[in-house]
Amino acid sequence: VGRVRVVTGAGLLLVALLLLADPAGAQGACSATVNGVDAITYSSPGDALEVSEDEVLAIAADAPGPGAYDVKLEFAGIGWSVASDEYDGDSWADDVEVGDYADKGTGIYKAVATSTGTSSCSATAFFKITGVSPLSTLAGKAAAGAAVVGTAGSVLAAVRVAGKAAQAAAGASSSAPTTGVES
Amino acid sequence: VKLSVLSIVGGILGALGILGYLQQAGAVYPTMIVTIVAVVLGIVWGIALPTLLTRMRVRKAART
Repeated sequence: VGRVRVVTGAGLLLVALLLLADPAGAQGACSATVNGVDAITYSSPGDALEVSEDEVLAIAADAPGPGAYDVKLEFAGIGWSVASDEYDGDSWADDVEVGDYADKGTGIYKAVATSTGTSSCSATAFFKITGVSPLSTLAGKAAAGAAVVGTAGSVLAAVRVAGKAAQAAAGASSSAPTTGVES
Repeated sequence: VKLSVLSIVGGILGALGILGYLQQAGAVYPTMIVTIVAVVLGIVWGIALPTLLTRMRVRKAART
């Protein structure tokens, strides 16, 4: 019964999380460039544009206007705005200074530029901040700390649970219980 | 199956931490799906570890 509950619970959790994973939006695609190169060149993490921490990204897009644009960095489905404004005509351009974000995080990011004018469209590009040690950034330190604390915590908890079960097995003349929930 | 809430929470935290560090190192980009897989692996780790350790130590205790 316990195994059925665990498997059922894990299955339900997985389905719920997959339902939360919203696929790409239904917006149309903008024609956009990053440093003068078509953004579609950098449309996958493997093709990410490598930038240094002191670089400035020149982002430009053709979009139906007048309207507003918003450039977001995304990480694990969570995004935050790094540039936004209103524009007239059918295009806009803005600069994003990598150094403004390189002290907080490095590695691969996804940039999504969304234009909302007479109709909405978006363009996506991946870029990779290089030359910065992961352990020198806030995000890198937090990730390393979480990895160490989480792994050590799970091992200690497992050792404690196993120790209690072993004590019960040694102390009991009958068979030891091997199913239960510990906190 | 031996369940430990702390072990499962630790497994999830550890998996997300490793994923976050790999992203910071430029080795992987954590899409939503990759993040979900990491969470599931953390849960599996958090369940498998106390279960296996318990089996080993109970067998050892039974022998002595």
